[in-house]
Amino acid sequence: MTSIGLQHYLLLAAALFCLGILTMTLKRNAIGILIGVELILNAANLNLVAFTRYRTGAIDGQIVAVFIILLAAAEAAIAIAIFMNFYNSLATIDVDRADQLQG
Amino acid sequence: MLLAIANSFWMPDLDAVVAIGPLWGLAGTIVAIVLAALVLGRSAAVSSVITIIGATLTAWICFTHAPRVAQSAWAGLAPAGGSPMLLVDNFAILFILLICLFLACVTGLWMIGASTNARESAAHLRNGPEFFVLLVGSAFGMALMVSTTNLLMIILAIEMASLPSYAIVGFQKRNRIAAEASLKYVLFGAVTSALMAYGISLLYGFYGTLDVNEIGRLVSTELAATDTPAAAKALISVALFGLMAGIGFKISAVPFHFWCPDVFEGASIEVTTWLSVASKAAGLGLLLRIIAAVLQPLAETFDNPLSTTVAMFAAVTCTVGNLAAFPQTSVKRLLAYSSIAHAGYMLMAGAIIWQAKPGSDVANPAFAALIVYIIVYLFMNLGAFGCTALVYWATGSEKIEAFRGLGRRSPLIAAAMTVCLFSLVGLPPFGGFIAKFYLLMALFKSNLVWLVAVALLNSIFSLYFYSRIAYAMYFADDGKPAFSVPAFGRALVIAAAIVILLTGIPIAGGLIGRANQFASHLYPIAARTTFAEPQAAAAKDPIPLAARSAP
Amino acid sequence: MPSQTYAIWILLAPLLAAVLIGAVGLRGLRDKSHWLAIGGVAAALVLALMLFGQIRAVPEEARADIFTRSHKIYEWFRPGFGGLASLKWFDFEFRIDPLTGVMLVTVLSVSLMVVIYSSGYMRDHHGHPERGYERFFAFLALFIFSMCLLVLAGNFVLLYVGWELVGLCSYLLIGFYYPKPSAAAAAKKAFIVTRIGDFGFAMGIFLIFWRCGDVSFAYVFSQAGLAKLVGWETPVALLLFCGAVGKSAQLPLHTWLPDAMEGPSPVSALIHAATMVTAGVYMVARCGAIFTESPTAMATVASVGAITAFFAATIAITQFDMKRALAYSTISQLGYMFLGLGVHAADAAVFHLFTHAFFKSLLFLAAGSVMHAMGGCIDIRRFGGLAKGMKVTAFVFWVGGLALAGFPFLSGFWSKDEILHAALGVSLPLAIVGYVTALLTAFYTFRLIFIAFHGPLKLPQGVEHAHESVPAMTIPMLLLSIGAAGAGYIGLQHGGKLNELLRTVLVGRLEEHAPGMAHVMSPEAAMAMSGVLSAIGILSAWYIYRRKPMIAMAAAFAMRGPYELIKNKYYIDELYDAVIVRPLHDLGKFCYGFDRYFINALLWIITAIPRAAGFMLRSLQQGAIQGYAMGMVIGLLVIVVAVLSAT
Repeated sequence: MTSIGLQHYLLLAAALFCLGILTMTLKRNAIGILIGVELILNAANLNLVAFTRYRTGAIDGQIVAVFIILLAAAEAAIAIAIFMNFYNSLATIDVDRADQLQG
Repeated sequence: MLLAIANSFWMPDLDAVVAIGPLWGLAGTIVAIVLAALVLGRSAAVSSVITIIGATLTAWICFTHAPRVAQSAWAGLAPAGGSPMLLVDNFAILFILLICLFLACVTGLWMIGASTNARESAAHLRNGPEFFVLLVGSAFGMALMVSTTNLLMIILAIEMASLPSYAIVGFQKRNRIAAEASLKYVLFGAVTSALMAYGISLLYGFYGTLDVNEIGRLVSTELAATDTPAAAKALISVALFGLMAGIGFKISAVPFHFWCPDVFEGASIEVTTWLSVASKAAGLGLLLRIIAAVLQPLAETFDNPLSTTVAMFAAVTCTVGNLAAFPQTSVKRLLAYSSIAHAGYMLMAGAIIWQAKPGSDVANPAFAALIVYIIVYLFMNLGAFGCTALVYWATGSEKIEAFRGLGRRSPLIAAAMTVCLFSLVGLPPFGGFIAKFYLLMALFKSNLVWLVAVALLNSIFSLYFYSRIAYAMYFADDGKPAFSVPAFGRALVIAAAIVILLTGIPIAGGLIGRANQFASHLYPIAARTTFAEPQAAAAKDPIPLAARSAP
Repeated sequence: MPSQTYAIWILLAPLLAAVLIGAVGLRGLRDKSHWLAIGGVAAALVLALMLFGQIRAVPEEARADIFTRSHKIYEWFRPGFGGLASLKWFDFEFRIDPLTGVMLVTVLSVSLMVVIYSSGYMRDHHGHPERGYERFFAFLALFIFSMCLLVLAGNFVLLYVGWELVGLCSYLLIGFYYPKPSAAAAAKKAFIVTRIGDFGFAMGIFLIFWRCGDVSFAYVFSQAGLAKLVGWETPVALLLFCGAVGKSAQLPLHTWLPDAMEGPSPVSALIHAATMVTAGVYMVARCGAIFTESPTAMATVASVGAITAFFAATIAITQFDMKRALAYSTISQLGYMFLGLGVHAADAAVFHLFTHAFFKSLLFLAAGSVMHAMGGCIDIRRFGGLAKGMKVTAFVFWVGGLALAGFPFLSGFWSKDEILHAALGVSLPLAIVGYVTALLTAFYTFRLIFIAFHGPLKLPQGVEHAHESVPAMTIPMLLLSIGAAGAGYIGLQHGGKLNELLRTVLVGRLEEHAPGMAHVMSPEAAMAMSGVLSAIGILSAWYIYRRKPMIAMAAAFAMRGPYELIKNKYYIDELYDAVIVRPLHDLGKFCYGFDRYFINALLWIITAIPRAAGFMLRSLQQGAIQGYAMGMVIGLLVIVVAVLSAT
């Protein structure tokens, strides 16, 4: 049995990243896509925290992680406001319906 | 106790506060708009005037700031002994100056739009303060983008620039098209920023630092130390491309360009104008910084596949932009594709800079060409979008058909539009030609002949669709009545056209010469990192900007 | 104020006037447009006079240094790139010396008179402005700016820019009445014919740049610059002279100038008599350092000048169109100037340029005044005896005519005499041609005067009476007539202050270059001879056209062949038409067909590819975000794979 090390965290983060990519490419619901984005952001956070713990020892990675959590919140806030606006005019947040602009 | 803690992180001495002066200018503008809305009531006119004053004031601060930077050889804000979080050097000042100038122009355009009767929504006017807070907020984010080399600040700056942009794209709340555009924009932006965050987390892990210059220094030593260089290189590339996704989104490089035409078409025209230039200029500024700091040393260890990749990137972006513009019927959308194509041209300069050694005969002209390109591009797009806006407000349509007979219906607007269009193609004697000429010369010098060929071929393609508008204006008159446009609007587009003409021949040499001098000082400025060595840096880079601009 | 500041404002004043009139003329100013132009030009004239005062005040010992200096305003552009850093910047630079000063004062003082005159001329008899009134003044101010740029230019490239700008303004103003086919054709002809000369001029500049690596006057005319041109002086000088031949309407490129009279009379006076056409003379004088190094070039300049002077004078005798006759006279006088340049008397040539500007513009303005009174008719067979109704016009025409004829003690006398005297010292045949031309000049000038202004009153159909023009026209003419009469006294022979000053910068006084050659005639004798010849010319014109009008007809009948030849301008236009224009036209037709049916088809096929690609790419942009995300991910994968496989 090996102990849990940096590699495990990185692999978990990579898995989260791939799941996030898949979610955002396959989901048709706008909020689903946003959740995919959150997954990727959390993968990044996981990376940062793990690197700080196992490699650098400095605090700045964790600071970045905190900021990214903050950014995710801000992004979600504005994204959901825009989804609401979209919903107001189309009564749906299915992104496939956003096809007026094309070509 | 508290003070000691604060001091250990940050030294709030006056020098450091003054050092980031231009950023204070923009931040102060936001505060002023909010305060004015609270005190004087919610008036769009007041907000717009404050925005213009704030932008002008910030530009003035930039001018006064530049000599000070050169004197103290330092401009920034950093934790004690650490690497800088904010770096307002001459490079940043140039871009902030451009952004402020453009901010004032776009606000002017907005005022013209607000004054024409065609403006449909009174709501738009009613929410003026919010609009300008968001607009200046995105300008502030862009200013941050060009004045940092710290990965955390890069994320924050890009988000600071993006979040208000999402909101102003969808600002016309009852407009279905705008809602769709902002939806696409926000989703795309969120995805690319997530990719970027992931890339940055990897970079941080590999090198244990957030400072881009530090990473640049570590790149070669780390690679030499590792026993699996291929894997390490692959990982670095992936991490870097994650970072590039964020920037690629901002400058709408292929394959991160899909949002661009849709958003540009859906947003109101001032917003489109704003995004088409300012967002791209800021993205390119950031890209240049990263290239100068990291990618350049990286390219040396990589034997150049990265450079080729960027060149391919540029070529594809340029070609896609130009070809997709062919079948467009809406001028706004056509100009959106054109802006993708121009991002491609500008990326080409990135391909050389990436390849060349700092301060070399090749890199400096490439930098200089890029700076000139951005300046000229700013005016070309301002003119082209300004004319489109004037036509839209007068006729209610932004299709090419709306331009029919413009040469008769509004000769001055048509003339200004023609100047802008042919300058966008890159025909002499307009500024666009000079910009493209120096860019292609730089490419040629660095033996990227195939890229020159691609650029030339693309320019020929682009002639076709730009001249479709010119053709409509002068040869396809459908007898619609003449219209008059607001005098201020006419003045704006004519001023843009005059600047393009001036940069074409009369002052082209001076411009490129200044840019060259500027570029030759870019590397030492960008590479300067710690608070501890300003004196040494001053000795290395003794030529202050004030002295440079002396005749 | 440093002299380049003067220069900048001299340029900006008319330019701003032009831009402002262009911007707000149509809507705001309309029939007040001339005020801006007058203001701009007057300001420039005041500045030019102050600048001239500064030039004169330069102490003797500092002149060589200060007058050869270049006044750099800003770096303009640099040929080459990066590695070619050794190449010099082309600066936006000025040359400020007596030659520039004289030219500026000449150009601007005549300009001011012409602009004031135009404010009266460009209106109908009720004082309503003509169509395009503001356009006229915008172009005129633009021309004045261009001409000042031309004479201020401190390097060949800037000179060329000014050179082409004046050409452009000339084109615009000749074609001012563009709905009239003949005006449009004349404008095109002027532009194209001068372009032939300009081609040579450009080649000359390229040659200079190739040999010297710099185009700044300060360098090219210095010892170092001239040393690099050794062995190339003759081709360089001849190519530059090509430009002068085109611009100054010398043989064989003179054909555009008479046609250029389709433009409004003030334009003919300013551009096609006083200023633009003298640009060639100015340029050759400016490049004297190169020309004097090559005897071949000097001989060519002198001979072309002398032949043109004679040849154009003969044509002028036979013309019935008053303005055309004056145009040929201009060609002839320009020929004199080149003769002066060619016989190492550049100062005399510039002096003649200076006096000619006054009396010839005066004559054209007077002709315009006649034309205005005659309802647009300018054919001297259809009117006569106008002196009674138009006293001022007749008076100023007399003054201008006497000056042109070289009548003693008027301006033309002094300057022409000086050229002829210098020619006597170099080549007897050329001098004889010059003297004969002087006789012809007096004759044709007074032929016009006696037919148009004296004898019984005769008016063209539709004109009831000859009335004098408005003060806006007569006052400038009177002012110019003072110049035409007295301008000569500024630069009196040899002792003259103007020539003294000019000689500090103009290379090529005879004494320096041909010290062994003695004068055939003393200055006083030469002066007496010109005076006598001009008197003979005037008297014979009086005799033939006032006393015995039959003589003219009889002579024309007796010498039908030569008369027809000369009257039809030696059939040169027809010759050019047959030899050059028609073949080119046919070639053009062929090329058009080739272009239309072959190239166009080819292009259509080629552009089909990008167009098809465009439609394909367009279909990628489906509008659905999922598709975009997929595209982005695939794109990223492609890039990552490409990088990985490359490393």
